[in-house]
Amino acid sequence: MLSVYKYIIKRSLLAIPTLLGVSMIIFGMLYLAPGGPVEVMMSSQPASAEQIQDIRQQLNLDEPIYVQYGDWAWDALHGELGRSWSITQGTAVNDLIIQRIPLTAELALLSMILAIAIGIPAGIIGAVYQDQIADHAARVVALSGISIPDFWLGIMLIVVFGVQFQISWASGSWIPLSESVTGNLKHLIFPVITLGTAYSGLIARMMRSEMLDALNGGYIRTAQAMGISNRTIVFRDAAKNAFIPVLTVIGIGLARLMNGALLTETVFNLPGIGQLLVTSIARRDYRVIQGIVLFVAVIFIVSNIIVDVLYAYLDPRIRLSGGD
Amino acid sequence: MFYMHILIHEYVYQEGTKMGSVSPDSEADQNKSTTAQRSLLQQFWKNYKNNYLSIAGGAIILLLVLMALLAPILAPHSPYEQFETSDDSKFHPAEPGTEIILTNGDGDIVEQTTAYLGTDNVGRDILSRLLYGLRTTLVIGLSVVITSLVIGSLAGAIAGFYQDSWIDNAIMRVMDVIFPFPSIVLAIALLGVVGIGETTYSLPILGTVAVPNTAKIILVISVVYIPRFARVMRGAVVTEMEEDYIDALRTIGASDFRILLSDVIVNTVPSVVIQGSLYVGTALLASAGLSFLGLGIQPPQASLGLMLSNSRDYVYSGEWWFSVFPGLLIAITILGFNLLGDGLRDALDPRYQGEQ
Amino acid sequence: MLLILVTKESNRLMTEKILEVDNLTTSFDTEEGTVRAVNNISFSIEEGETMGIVGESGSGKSVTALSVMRLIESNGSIENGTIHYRGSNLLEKTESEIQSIRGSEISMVFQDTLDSLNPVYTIGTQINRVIRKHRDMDNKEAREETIRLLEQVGIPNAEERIDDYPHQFSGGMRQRALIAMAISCNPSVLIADEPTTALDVTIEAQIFEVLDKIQHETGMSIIVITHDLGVVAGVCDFVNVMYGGEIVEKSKTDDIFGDPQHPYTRGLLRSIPRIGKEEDRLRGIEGNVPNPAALPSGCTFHPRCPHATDECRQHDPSLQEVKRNHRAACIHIDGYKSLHKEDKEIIINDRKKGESDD
Repeated sequence: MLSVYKYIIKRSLLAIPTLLGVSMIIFGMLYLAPGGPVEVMMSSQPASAEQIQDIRQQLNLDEPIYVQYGDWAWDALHGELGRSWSITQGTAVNDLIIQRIPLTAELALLSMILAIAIGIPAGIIGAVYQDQIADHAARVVALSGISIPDFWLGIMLIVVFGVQFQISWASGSWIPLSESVTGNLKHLIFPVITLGTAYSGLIARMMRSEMLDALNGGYIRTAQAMGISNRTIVFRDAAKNAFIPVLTVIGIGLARLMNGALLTETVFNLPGIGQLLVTSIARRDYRVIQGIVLFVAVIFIVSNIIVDVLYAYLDPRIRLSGGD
Repeated sequence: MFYMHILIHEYVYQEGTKMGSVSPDSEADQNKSTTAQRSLLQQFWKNYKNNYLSIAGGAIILLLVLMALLAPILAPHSPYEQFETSDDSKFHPAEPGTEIILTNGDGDIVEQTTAYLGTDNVGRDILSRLLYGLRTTLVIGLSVVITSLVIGSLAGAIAGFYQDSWIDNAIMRVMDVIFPFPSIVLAIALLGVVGIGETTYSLPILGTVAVPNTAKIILVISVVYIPRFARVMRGAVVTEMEEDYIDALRTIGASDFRILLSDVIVNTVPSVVIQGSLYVGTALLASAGLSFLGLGIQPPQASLGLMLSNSRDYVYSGEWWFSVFPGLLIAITILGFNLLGDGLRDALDPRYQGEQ
Repeated sequence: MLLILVTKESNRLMTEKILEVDNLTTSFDTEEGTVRAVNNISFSIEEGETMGIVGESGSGKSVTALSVMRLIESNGSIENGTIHYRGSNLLEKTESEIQSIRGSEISMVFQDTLDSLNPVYTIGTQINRVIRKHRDMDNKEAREETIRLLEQVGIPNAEERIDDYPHQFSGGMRQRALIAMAISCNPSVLIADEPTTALDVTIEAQIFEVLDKIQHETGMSIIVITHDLGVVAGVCDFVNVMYGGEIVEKSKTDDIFGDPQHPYTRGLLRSIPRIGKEEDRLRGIEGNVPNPAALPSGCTFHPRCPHATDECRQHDPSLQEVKRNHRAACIHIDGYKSLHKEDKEIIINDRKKGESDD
């Protein structure tokens, strides 16, 4: 098991340069705005040159960019993402994110669970009954999941269930988990269906193709020749092998899930991270945008490490060779 | 390699390009690339021609492209004209089949017609806006893929050609940094840089340049896909460089540039183009998503995502047509590209046969 | 003559036919139409015997083995014939009945490819579950039995290596592990499909030593499927030569090597490299194995046969006893019923020439 720890450390060390690069780009990018960030931010309201200079000074924008980056990165390293520039001026970006993260996290987690619960069995069924009715059905579901825009699916759910069937919790405002567990979950049912089904298509497709590959493996034939039952072969031999590469798709899919969360939050009017990002763009609140994008990037880098470590843990070929 | 899925990506790609090397050995080395290509094409067509689903996808796309191209002819009205309902008891958005009229400044009726798919919140004909919106959406989807394909492939080809050199490292590390971002989050962040709406830039030498909003959207979404193409291309080029004919070309004194351009890239283009067809759907989805958030195409321009965005306020009041039709059209378009792309990929790499 | 020719005496009484295959025909539905991979073949094996099935790839030898195991893929079916194991027809068994026979009564060792063992489970786990499936043992007993089996097949440090994963084993070790798994439930018949093809010669010899030892200890029958006549010469009592889905010659190993009858067998024998014959170019058989989807008319070997006549193109010869206990399917053989005089002379001349070559 020592090798697993070594692998985690090695993998984490490898992430440092990426994180550094990501943070530099995130920081530098927003200063590339034509005319400077403050001018752009203030472009919608009249502001004199002095006012702009005032704000620039307030926000420490006259320092050389590497000093600004250094300050920002040093704070970020200590978990401080700075303060909002805009209407919510002065509010710590941390607070804004912390306030909204439970909702987005809950939405993403539940959607992920739903997607796996649909995608994995659908993929297995598709592969086992290849080219039979069950397979075609699973493929149609998967392809629809991928092709239907999730935000539109959300709207359609509201149109059908919220409007036609008058189900109150199909739409309407979100209730924090701390207030009412059932109320909270009820209001998340449709957002989770919206987000989870889109993502399940991706998993189902990958699982099916990996299952087909696995079912063609020599070890399947060996197991058959030893009289192992088909059920055991499908679930113990093939599915475990197929799941390992699918795990990476689940990892990559996190990015899709984040996209989806952004849109789903907008559709269902949920006050999550996505909504904060969208409003911050509209307000040109650079500090908040930087904070969120960095936060998302860190989540991705960390989840990629987790996926890789899980992958290594499940696949002895990687685990025992130290991950090269 | 940094992320495990990159490995998978490259692995899939190398598998896909192997087919190119299955060619009769009797041919002379110099002819090998063309023979390989011909046999690849033949193999490809043999694998593809019975995939009716994919051909259906292609037909859908062809039909949609024609509809978009012929929008000025097919659309019953201008997408910007705001109609009134002839029946005063009806308000916008008016349901499908409503009689609508266009009046001039004096209140005279200039035109009387039917809104077959209803009208939107300001009285514009949904059918006409759908056709023009499809135009915008297709242009963005295809432009994104072409832009990122060209830039990404070039970067990937250079990286692969100079494998393990500092150029390779520099290019691929930048790609590694971009890769993990969710497409819409990245696009939004980039929009923060370039701003929304048309912007005039004062640039040295070029003077002032007005960059239209559509171009900006194409650009920011393209950035998301560049690393994908770069990786695919790099993998393909690295595999290709191991072929014997490269050495043969070197011996006869061909320059690096010539080899890269006229031999390596030519042989790897089919795989990259097919990969591209797979990304049109997701690029479309991203652009529609961006417009849906109000950060993409700006009014009054017609776009399917923007129509959905406008329809949001009318969802609860039961004006279903406003949101159903644009979404349905997006779904059909993406479905068409997915069917087409899947089939093309299956044909190139039979390992995926039947995965739809 | 052959350098590696080894005569193997079986000192047991061979009475009971343990496995009898009669008129087996297996076909596959492919894009090119229905393909008969195995066409009307018959053979039987007695207790403690080792039988070889030899042929080039595509000759139908592996499909024969899979048919016996009833492991034909879903696009294939056994069209005709019977497979009797200890008197009962395997083709009439239900899937669950056949599952309890597989691995415990009739077992199979495949050629070691990288994935013939499941990469995500340890060697021990994989053998263990076969034992627990067919034998009444708990986990601990099965583990001890697994260690014993691994020792039996010659894996050193079996107690430690039982917890290794397949990729940590060398090719030869994996093949041994596959054998350990296959014999874990004391099968009466062991089918070994190209068991040593991926291995080098010294390992090959060790593997067959292991098989030989186990056979002596347990008295099981072994069917060796191979393209390598050297393997056959080394280990088999009887040989069936397959070509184009049919058995074209069958006999005791000594007779096949000492006096091959079918032109195909002779071609195969000539293609074996021999030490000490420097100037002699290696002679293979001209042409390729026929496509099973488009088998030639008449005798399937005629396009590659140096003695082919019009009759060969029209008439598909059946397997006939051409000498005592030696059957072959070629009309140009002494003792074959419809033999033409001139052809006979050609063959005799050819054979003389072949002998003087040696």
